Amino acid sequence: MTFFLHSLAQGTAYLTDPIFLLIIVAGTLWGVIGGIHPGGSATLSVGVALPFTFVMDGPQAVAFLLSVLVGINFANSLPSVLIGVPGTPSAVLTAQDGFQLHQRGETGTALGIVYLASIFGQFVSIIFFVAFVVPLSNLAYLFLSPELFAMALLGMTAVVGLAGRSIVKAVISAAVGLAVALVGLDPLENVPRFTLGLSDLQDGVNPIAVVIGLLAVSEVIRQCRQVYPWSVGKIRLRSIKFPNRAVLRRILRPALLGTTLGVVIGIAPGASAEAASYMAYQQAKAMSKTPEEFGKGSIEGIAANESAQQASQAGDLIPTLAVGIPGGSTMVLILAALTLHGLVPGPLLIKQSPELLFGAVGGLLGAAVFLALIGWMMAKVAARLAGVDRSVILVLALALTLIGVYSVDQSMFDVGVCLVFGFVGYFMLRYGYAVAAAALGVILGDDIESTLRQGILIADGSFLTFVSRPVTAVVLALAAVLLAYGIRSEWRSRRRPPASPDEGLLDVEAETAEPQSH
Amino acid sequence: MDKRVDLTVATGFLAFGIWLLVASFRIPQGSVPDSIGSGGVARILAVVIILAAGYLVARRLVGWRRTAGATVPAEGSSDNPDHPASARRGLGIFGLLVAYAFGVRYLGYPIATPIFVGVALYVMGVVSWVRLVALSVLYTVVSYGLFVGFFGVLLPLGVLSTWDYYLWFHF
Repeated sequence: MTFFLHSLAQGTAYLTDPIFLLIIVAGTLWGVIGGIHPGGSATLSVGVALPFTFVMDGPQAVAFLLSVLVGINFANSLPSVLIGVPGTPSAVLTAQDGFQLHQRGETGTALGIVYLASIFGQFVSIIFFVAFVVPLSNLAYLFLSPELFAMALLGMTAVVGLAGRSIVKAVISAAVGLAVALVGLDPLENVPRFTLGLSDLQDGVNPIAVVIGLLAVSEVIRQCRQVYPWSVGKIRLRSIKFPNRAVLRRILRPALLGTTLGVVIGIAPGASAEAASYMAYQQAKAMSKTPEEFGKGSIEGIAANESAQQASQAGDLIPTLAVGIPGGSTMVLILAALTLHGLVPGPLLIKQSPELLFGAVGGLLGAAVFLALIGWMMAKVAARLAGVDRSVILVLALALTLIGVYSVDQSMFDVGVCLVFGFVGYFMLRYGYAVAAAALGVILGDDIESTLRQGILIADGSFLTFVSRPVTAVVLALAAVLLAYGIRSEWRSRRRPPASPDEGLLDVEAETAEPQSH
Repeated sequence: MDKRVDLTVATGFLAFGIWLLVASFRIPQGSVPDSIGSGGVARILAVVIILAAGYLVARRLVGWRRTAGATVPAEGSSDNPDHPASARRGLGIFGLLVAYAFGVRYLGYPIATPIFVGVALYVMGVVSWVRLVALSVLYTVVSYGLFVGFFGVLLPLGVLSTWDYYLWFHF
């Protein structure tokens, strides 16, 4: 309880630092701009922003990236309401109900609920976040090398097992990512490996360059395949009115439900904001006195969906920071940002660097306060921002990504690495290989190898140590179950015949192919 | 998705796995070797990749005749079905990126960037010359000012390196 209150107090204390506040404001605005464009992805927005953290310290970097996510999760629903196209996949259900309200002339009501439910979900989920992350991080005291290896492996299998359509391809992705992490000096024997005779590879590949290439560059190249504008009709800002009290009373229950489900589902590794928002929407419908309104402009549906989206981010952050298991690709990027500052993702993260937890609390809280102050105004001007040419955004995002990657170590070699993995990542994305699993492999690979070998060393060369230690055995069993679940799901989906000849030929969007946090 | 490209990608991973296995045996021995060794994890990963990619290649080849044409159900991310897609445009932009990376090195950031942004925007369908020039110049100036002036990054100047005193904001 003491550490719980201490974490909240420390996180709040960060907000008295003007630089920290400036970083949060910049992050939130970045997220809003990234989220407001239909068809974008949270991974792309966070990926482009990630290299900028090279000028920040660890807590600032975490706060910056989290405020980007808060901004995205708020703004991705604005185009859903205004043009019926979600900014990111987790806002699909808001598009269904919000756009109907907009067409009926109730734009203010729809935008107001998006605004209020997002803020509500954000504030309440921070309490959940600290309440869960503290006891989980205390488990770290039980961990030695074998347990650390098992936890890292669990993180990998969570992303692989829940990767989507092809578990075999996800396994390849993870193995390739882990193999890339082996490049450079062996951590125990200090001999060079897989350096191809290049001196730039003596210290290994820069994980930031690889991760940005796999997750961000590949996604932009994929999006460049299609050029089409979003038509935003003329909307009179003065006609957008804030919802009245009766509406606000109706959304309180679904917003609380959405927040709770968002956190709980977000905690599960591999579960995404999409899963949280879908489940919250269905539960809100089941508990509603007016279920017939769902899908036709339900304010309760929007409230549940929005609060779940925001809360799932805090939930997702719990395993990421507490035990080093990221829930999806955006959390992989946050772990990548930590490696940039010399921090090792894993169960010992909070134990060794508690300031990261405080920074995360400060970031989530600051972004929520900032959105509370200017979110309504942003919602009203969203229509104009959403109309910006998508082609321009994509090209400038690419240019900015490259200069960002260069800036991390002022190395053109890193830019080349980023491009190579961007190219590989593009084909992986298109052909069903989980890029998030590969990126996570790159981040955790070094740790997995070191802890495996150290674990065997402390057991005098015996592999039995991984099954004789209770925590290790349980965690490895859990990893095996997750993998088995993924194999079973894929096997069942392959046996099921497609409902129509077109099914399977065209899938909805990139984000459905693998777990994405937000 | 195109089954031929799918097969090529799987074959690429198979080749990578074989290379990894071969290369793992060439790692020099350290002075204090452990039971797994420097190449042990790499060998495990290589075997996993070879088995998994081999399975994908075999599965695709065995079922080759079962699907008429080159298109098979998608396993990755597809395009928005309501709009035309161009693989050439996507890969063309990637080609421009590679050229840009070389251009930054030899021409310098202030020259290569507006050229890249302008050409890439044109490829993406922006045809107004005013917009092309304005966006290219504006982006270059703002990004240069931000990274050099604010973040203190020394961007490559290429042929402009003799002007470094002025371009690195020493004033």
